[in-house]
Amino acid sequence: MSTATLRDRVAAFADDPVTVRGALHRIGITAFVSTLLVVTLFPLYWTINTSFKPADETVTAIPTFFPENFTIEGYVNVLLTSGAIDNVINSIVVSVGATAIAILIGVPAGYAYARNPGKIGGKNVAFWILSLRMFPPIAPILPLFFIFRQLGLIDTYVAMVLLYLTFNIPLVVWLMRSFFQDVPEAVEEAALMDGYSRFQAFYKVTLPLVTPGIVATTLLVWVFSWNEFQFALVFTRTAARTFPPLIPTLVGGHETLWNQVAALSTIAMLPVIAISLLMQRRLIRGLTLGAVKG
Amino acid sequence: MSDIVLRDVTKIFGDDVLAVDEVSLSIEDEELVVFVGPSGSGKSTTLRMIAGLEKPTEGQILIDDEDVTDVEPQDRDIAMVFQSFALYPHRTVRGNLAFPLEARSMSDAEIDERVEDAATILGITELLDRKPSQLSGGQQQRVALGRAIVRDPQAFLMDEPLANLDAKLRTEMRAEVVSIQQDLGVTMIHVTHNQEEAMTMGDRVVVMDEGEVQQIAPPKQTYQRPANRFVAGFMGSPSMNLINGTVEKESFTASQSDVSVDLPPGLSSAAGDVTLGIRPENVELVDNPDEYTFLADVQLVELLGNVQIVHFDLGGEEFLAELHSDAKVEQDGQYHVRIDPAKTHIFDGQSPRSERIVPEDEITAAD
Repeated sequence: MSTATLRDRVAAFADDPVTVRGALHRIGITAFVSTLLVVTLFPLYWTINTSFKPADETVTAIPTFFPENFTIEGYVNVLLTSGAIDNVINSIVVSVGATAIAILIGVPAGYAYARNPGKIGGKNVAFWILSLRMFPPIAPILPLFFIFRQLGLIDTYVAMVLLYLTFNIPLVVWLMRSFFQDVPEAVEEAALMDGYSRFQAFYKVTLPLVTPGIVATTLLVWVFSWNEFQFALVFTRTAARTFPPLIPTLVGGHETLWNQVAALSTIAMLPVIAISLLMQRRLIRGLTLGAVKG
Repeated sequence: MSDIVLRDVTKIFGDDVLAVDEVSLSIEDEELVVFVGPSGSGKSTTLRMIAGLEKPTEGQILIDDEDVTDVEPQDRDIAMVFQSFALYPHRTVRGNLAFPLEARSMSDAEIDERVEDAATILGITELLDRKPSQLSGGQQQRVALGRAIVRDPQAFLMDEPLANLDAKLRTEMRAEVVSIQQDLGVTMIHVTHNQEEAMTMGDRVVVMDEGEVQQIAPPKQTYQRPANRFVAGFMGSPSMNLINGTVEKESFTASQSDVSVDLPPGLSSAAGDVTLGIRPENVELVDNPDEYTFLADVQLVELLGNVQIVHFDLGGEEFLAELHSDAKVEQDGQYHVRIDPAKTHIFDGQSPRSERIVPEDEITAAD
């Protein structure tokens, strides 16, 4: 009797395409997502793992999946002995400076474009601004190099901030324009009718409504400036050199200090990951706020 | 509280889009005036110019005899309720109501008191700590109204505030807006494209079309004595039957059908191409034809409870009659239709701007 019941159950299960298909579907998705996670997270894990190993453990024939001799010598050596701490400070100064100025200029500009479509510089100007981000960064490097050398700006913070602004301001204007477009003009007009000036209406009503957008934009712009390699390599030597061009110099012809490379890479990644996780909710709201008309 | 005067106000958008064309009108203190017209008629633009949100291209706007044409909206002391309600999504209901008061640097105690008062009038005291997104459409509407009444402004401007509500709520809020206006004794301008709203709410109605004022009159007068063919067709539902035709020897002959009736008395000045207008409720079916009847075929009968709308076919043109639901009317039947000569209008042409010919007895009465 119990056998019959079991057979019935199997039959019922097999006859139920919804259940079978559903189960297969779930298995398929789980397998796909797991593979994706391994592929994306393994390099992160391996970098962090390596950064806490002593130098000789990074080159063992059989790699260790956890540091056998846990140490922070990679961090100490790269920051102090190799002097990377100066480059990290340079990176902080340049990226924060370029981000702050881009936001200060780009947010009001985005607002102006959102509220006066076609009035400022014609209807194609917004696309022209975006197109500044489309050309390959390598294209203007040579002319810019000569200009900056003439001006005595090579290897200075000013040069780096100016270069990053060229790419960041268009992005901020473009993103903020669509965030501002999503705030109905009637809400601002209501503030005018309620007795506020246009500027008060902007910062008391519109600005709070686009805060998630500003947060998301700030993060995108900052990450770009923090990670940028090409301009930093060409336009800096020592005084203003940021850390990304430093990392490949640690890969030497005779010896590569993999734990130091990994330590510096971890220092580079951590703030981005930490801020993204902390601001995840606001960030997602910000990113979708700009994308979806509501 | 105050009166509002518009002198030859014109608004041109861009280079050539004429939105409002030389509108002049005067709104008295404590009056409720309704701007009504189809979309694109310039009613909202006119309202926005009174609010200060748009600058007139030409003309003058005066509030309490003071020229405010170039005064910024925040300095006009006028409250406005928007079609979209335009509540501040990041503030609670209390924050929304307090917002206009905060601009006037009032003490916190006074702000609290005024907010409570306004919330009590509108019955939203329980909602004060909610965000606008947690409210229903009707509740949002009340908050928008509350934000207007909380600060005791010189005038209220309402830009289609009932358009986003469902039919039942719209009727309720209509009555509530009128009673608030009367209780507070404020000047109010209400904009709508709904002629029924105009009919029921306004002390006076300003009918607009294509940027021009067509008629300014009490609602009943726009209904009974429309200034022109446009007003006749726009005010009233179902709308007035308008038949193109010619007048010859005091007799009207339709151009599209074989309708031919005598010209109603007192309209002997009518001649040539005209439009005959008759409201569906001023039509009856009779057994014995006379000089005001014509023969017509029934196309469709719609029963609406106590009345039925009978659609006749006049040579391809539709002609409506609103009859008591007891009247025996059969689909595809043929009947003698009689128009009430006392309620028949003749317009001196066939365009929307064709003016109504004023009957002699009306002129005499006016004298």
